[in-house]
Amino acid sequence: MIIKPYTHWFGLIVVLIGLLLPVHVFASIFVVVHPDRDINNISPVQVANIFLGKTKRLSNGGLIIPVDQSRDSHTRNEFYSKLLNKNENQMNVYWARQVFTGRSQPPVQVTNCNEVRLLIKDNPTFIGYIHSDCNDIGIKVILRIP
Amino acid sequence: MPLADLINTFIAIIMRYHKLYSRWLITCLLLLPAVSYSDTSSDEVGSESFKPSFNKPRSDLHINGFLTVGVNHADPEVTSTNESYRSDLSFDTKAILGLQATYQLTSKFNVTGQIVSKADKDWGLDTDLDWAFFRYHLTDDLTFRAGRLRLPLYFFSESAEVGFSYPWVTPPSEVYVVPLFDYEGADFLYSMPTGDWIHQLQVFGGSVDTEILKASTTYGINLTSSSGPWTYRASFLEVNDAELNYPTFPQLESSFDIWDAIDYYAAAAIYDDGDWLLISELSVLDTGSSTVLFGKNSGYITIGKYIDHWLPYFSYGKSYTTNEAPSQVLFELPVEFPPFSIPVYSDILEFTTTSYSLGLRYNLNANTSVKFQWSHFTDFDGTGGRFFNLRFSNSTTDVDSVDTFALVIDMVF
Repeated sequence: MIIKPYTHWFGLIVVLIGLLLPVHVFASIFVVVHPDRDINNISPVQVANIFLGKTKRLSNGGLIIPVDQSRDSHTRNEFYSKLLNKNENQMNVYWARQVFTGRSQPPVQVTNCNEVRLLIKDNPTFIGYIHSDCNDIGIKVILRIP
Repeated sequence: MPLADLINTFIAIIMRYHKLYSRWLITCLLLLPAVSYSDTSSDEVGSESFKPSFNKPRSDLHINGFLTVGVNHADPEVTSTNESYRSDLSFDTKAILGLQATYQLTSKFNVTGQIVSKADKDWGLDTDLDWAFFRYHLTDDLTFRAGRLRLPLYFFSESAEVGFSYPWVTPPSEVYVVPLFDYEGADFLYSMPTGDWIHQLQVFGGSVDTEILKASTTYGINLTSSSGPWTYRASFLEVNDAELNYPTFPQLESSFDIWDAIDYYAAAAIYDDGDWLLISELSVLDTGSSTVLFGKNSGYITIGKYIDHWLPYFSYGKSYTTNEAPSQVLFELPVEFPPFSIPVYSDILEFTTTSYSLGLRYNLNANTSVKFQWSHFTDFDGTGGRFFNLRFSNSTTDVDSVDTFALVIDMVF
């Protein structure tokens, strides 16, 4: 069987492009709450307001407490980078002003997305974020940050 | 029972500061801690199930601190209200260490103390307990604080000593020339969301008792509204029944009734989208009918661009005195030999200054930044600008520009 040379090259190029595309292009961050919460979507600005400690309320008035991931977590840096376009130092500038003027303390932290899920699954007052690769069984996604 | 004592102390302090004589209000306040106590206990039961999954158990005690070490230099040497620059390279004018502890007693009640140590000239240590207050969450949107707090006059007034919390080496001196006054009193912080916007209202009142200023009634209100990259703030502050003690001129204290009331009005706008940073503040000081203390208008605008770990910025600022009264003799300055006295006229209080600053902030890591800033102050119109040593000396008219340089490392932990 004779294979025309240009078909060879075409196939090879397709495979190479496929290899070059990084997997995380399709990754995103999910903002998650307990399935019983009477909220199905939320705006990125409202998520930011909650995680910056500016409000403890959802737009429907319900009480909500943010759960952060640990400082060395990639998901955390990705979350704040996508949500506010800020790196860790820029986030700390904000928190320095809050903490040293006695306004508020940063949200409580857990180590990984599975802990976020376990915490929220059992407790409807929390809001968290997980990487889209993480298991989201038992929790509800209300915002996808691409 | 300690909780009952706490509630009693809390109510005693409220009554002392706010003179709440009406019985129904006190009854409401008595009921609030009782309600919150039952909330807290149910929270704690619920939290047992997830506590082991935390990296660290939720701590009741937060210890934080900040540190600034740096060097500055000016040509010529200048002094002002909060800062001094010498003509040599001085390390002692910039060093600050702050330590803060916050202890969470219940989910609604916490106490905070903050100690700030600053190096004086020649490394004498100037240490103050700048913040000491308790905080109580009356509702989820309303908190009450009482104790020793800092006057929230401008956007960065309360964190002016925490270098890490702003882009500059020091906040623009045109506006932040006011001494950092602590007060003893109380404030209410109320937060209200409307759509994507959050409005935060602060109402405060108390008394100031420092070496420079004693004022029995000081109060004010401010509103901060923010959404996404935008933050706006409007602020008002009134100082009443004040006694001023100019350390440079003790004669002023006794010879004049300085003022009845002075009012500060301030507005701030901030845009920070993580790429660009824009900060602008305007301030008006209204000294009413005082013939000694002049009013002042001031403002600045800063523009900066985040480039990876770098933040280069430029600032323009202006400040000048207003409602200048006709020239009069403030006091006679005695001279020992030959014995005579020099009359000091109120003209020395007049000034005008324009400034241009270029700076660069570099983030070494998440908690540490290095900053360099060059400021050029000019257009004094023979007044000596806002620098005391130039205004109160004979060489006033000769100097029309001052350059200051500063290099600092700021960190928080």
